[in-house]
This record gives sequence, structure tokens and C-alpha cells, in this order.
Amino acid sequence: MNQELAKIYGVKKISLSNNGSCQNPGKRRIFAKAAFYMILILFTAFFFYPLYLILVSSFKTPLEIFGSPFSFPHKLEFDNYVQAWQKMNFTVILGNSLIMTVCSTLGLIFFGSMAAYACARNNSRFIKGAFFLFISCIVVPFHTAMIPLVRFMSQMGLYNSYFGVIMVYLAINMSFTIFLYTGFIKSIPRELEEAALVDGCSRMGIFWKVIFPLVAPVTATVAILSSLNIWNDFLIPLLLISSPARRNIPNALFAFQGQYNNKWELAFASLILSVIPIIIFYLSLQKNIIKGATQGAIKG
Amino acid sequence: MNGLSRERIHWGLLISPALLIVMLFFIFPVIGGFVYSFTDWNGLNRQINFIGLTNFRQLFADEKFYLGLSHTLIFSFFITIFQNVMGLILALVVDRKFRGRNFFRTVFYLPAVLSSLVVGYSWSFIFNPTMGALNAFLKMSGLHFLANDWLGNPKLALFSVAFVIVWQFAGYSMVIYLAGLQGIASEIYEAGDIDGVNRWQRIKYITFPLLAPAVTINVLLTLISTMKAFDHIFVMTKGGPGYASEVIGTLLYREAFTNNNMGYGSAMSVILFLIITIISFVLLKYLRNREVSS
Repeated sequence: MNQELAKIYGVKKISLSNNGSCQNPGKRRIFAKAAFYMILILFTAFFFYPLYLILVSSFKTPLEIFGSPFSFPHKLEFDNYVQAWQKMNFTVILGNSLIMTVCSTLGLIFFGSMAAYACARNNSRFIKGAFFLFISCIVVPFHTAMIPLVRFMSQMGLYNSYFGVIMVYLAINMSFTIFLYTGFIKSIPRELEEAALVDGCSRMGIFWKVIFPLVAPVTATVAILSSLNIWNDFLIPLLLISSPARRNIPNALFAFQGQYNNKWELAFASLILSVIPIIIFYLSLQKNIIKGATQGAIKG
Repeated sequence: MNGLSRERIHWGLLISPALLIVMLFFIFPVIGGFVYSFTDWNGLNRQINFIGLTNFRQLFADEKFYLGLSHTLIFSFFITIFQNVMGLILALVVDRKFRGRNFFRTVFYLPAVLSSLVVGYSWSFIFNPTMGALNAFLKMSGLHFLANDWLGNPKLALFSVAFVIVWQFAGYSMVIYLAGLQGIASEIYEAGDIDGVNRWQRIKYITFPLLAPAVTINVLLTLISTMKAFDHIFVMTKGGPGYASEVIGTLLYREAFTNNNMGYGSAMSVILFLIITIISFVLLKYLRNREVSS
């Protein structure tokens, strides 16, 4: 009876009719459950509604955006997207973001795991010192390096180049990557390597054939964490890239919003356009991403 | 070639790419930052002079710097508290077993994977005083008096941006708390049930103390990242109106790259470096002690 009531009247009615008569455990459970789902729905609305609003508005005409901000669009204005895509030069910009992210992430994985192997297994003073240096870098904010970096990069002829930006991404993410890999490699038993050494394998060979395949879980964490960070980074290309054709997505968005901030329909379309790649990435890998974020934070 | 020296060369080859990159593109500029903080470098003059502690003396007499510093501290404090409370509540909610909880985790974490630019701009439109959705909603629901110029009111601007950051990263804190919650062995709860603890006692005496390491990590991460905040403020208020929402991150950028006071900006970055280092050490020590004693 009560369950039927809950279905018919929904959450609020039941909570009222239940006032003061909670002796029945069945009733109490329904009330708790309803309250729980209410909280869930409120939280979901809180996190999702702002994004939904931007999404819906991006398909409206300017008149509709201002006239009826919360309604569903009369007719889907795909033209907003066509215009935003062309004006942002989105094909090129998407390519830039991909190049910077993929190259930096691969560099971090290869160079980071190599260095971590040395740090985990070699006790020479030089490598101990290097490891200490890497670890110290984790606490230093990028801001301290930022101002001289711009000057050094232009002196080295790396201003406004992908290579320069990629090198900076490697430098600022390397220490943490090495930290993650080193901890993991230390937990791998040495016997595996010793057997390979007896077979006449070189250190380099051992690293690639024995160690690198074993550290795959850390590689996945590093790949996810750094690709998200680098894909979304705004500051470094802002400092080091000047030509519009080499901007990444956040910087192109910044320029676009500056130029079209009075054309809301285009501004909304450009926002949605820039999040589509990351949303696809997130939805296809969400479990791994959440796990990666946790591991990155807890080890740090 | 004998085996031992080949081994040494290989170790060198393994570590050198990473070491070279970090030295050249991070450590070298960081040292540069410290050196330039003692100079009058303005990005235009070819000649750069050492002027001793002048920049630092000027910094401590600079009202804008104090303003930026106090805003940074208020901002960090506000976000750290709210983001952690919110993250903990979310974690407690989605830690329960119910159908579709993965869906809710995905939704709550979603804003954290978006770029801060997208989030900043989206909320700027929502906050717009004349045409934004927030004021439109308040007017429609009869709450006229609450409508405000969220980013243009000097008293509110800093907190509006802080709110947006909490909105974006509450899910991130949630994920860390969730890992902490799942690390608590179910035997402990069962033992509690045998002893007849009620739900509130269960949270107070079992969950919270055992969650202390997750609190440590979360508080540290939020504090350090918000001390360095730049993107959201740069996009939403540019430090304005006036200097009402200026923090160290944006002030640094403004001094160095808009006003071309590179030496002065470097001095500011050195101070930021010191503050972040001190806060992390003090806090880490305090929180670690509490973890052990509780």
C-alpha cells in the first residue's frame, strides 16, 4: 500500500503523510530512499544544468536566447556551429591540440619511465642527486619559471613553435611522472632483471624488454593525467605561441570569445565545440580517468 | 668495451633525456626567476642592472600586492573549505550501493575534466547581469532582490569566481574521498555494528578518523592549486572590477607581460614560491600529526 502511494504521489506527498508515524520500518525505508534520490537529483541538476543550458542555447537564434532563455529551441540552428567552426579555424586548431598533447604525453611516458628505472635501481651519487632534483621540482610553482622562460625560449629560437611548447610540457610534468614510475618500479622484484643480465642482456635491453611492459598500469595513469592536463592547458601556449594558426583549443577559444563576445549564439557554439573532444574522451574512458586521477592524487 | 663501463653508459642514457629537459626548461628558468628578482629588467632596455632588494622593498610597500595577497588567501581558504565539504558529501552519497551510482559519479566528476576556459566562459554568460540565466531565473521565481551583477560587483566578484572553481572541482575532491572511503575495511564497520553504534556514531567514530589521509591530500591539493589560480580569474574578471578580484597569479601576469615589469614580477613570483613552500610544509606537518593522534 505504502509503496503504491509512493509511486503515485511521489516524494513530497509521502514525506508529509509520513509525519510522525515512522514506526513502520517499511515506511521509513521508503522515506529515506525518497530523500536520498531527491538529494541525488538536486546534485545532478547543480552540476549538469549549467552545461545543459549552454548546450541548448547554442542551437538558438539570438532572439530566442534573450527572449526565452530556459526553453528548448524552436528549430535547431546548426548554422551557429558551422560559423563557429569556420571562424575558429577549428580543423587546424584541433590538429594543434592533438600534436601538442600526443607528443608531450609520449615523451613523458618514454623519458619518464627510463629515468625512473635509473632512479629506482642505481644507487650512484649522480643518480641519487638527479632524483632529489626531480622530487624538489614537484613543489616549485610554474610561476617562478614563467617570466624568464619566455625570454629563454625566444633566445633559443623556440618561441612560437610546437617543439618549444612540448619541451615545456615535458619539463613541468616530468618530475611527477618520474615520481609515479619510481615508486612502482621499486616494488618489482629484482630477480627478473638478474636473470636477464645473466643471459647477457644490456641495461637498455632489460628496460625495454622486461621493465617497460611491467609498468603498464603507471603508463596508463600517466597517459590519462598528462593528456588531460596538457589538452586543457591555457597558460603555456598563451605565453609561448603568438600566431593564430598554431594555437591550441583553449587559446583559440580565448581569442574567439574576445572577438565575438556580443554574439552569444556563436560564443555558445564555440564553447560546446571545444568540449566535444574531451567529452568523448571522458565518456569512453571514464572509469580509467577517475581511477587515474585518484592514483595521481594519492601518490602525490 | 668492458661490461662495467657499458653498464654505466646505459644508466646515463636512461636518465639523461629527462634530466636535460628538466634542467634546461624548468630549473634554469627557475634560477633565472630568482636572479631577475634582483634586477630592474623591464623587457625593453637591453641593459639589465642589479638593484639588490629594491624590488622586494617596493613590493612590501605596494598596496596592490597586499590586495592581491589577501585576495589569494581569502580565495584559497574559501575554495578549500567549500570544495572539501562538498566533495565529502558527494563521496558519502555515491559510496552507497544503489542502481546507477556510476552514472552519478560520472556526472559529478564531469566538470573537472573540462578546460577552465570553457567553464569560466560558461559561467560568465550565466552570471551576466542583464541577460544571464541566473538573474533571469531569480526574477522569474520572484527573488528579484537577490539578482546581482555577480562579476561586476566588487564585493562579489572574487566569491563568484571561487564558487565556479568549487563547482568545477568538487567532483575531483569527491573522487579522492571515495578512494579513502573504499579503503576502509568492512570488518571495522561490522565490528561497530556488533557494538551497536548508530549511523551518526558510525560516521563520527569510524569514517572520519580513517578518512584523515584523504583529507590531508585533498586540503593540500586544493590549497596549493588555488594559491596559483590564474585561468578562471583571467577569463571571468581579469582581476577586476578595478583590483577587486586580483590574485597573485593574475597580478604577476599583469606586471610582467602587460606592464613589462619583468624584474618586479619575478620578485613577486619568488614570494609566491616561498608562500607555497611554507604553507605546504606547515600544513603537511600539522595534518600528519593529527592523523597519527586520531
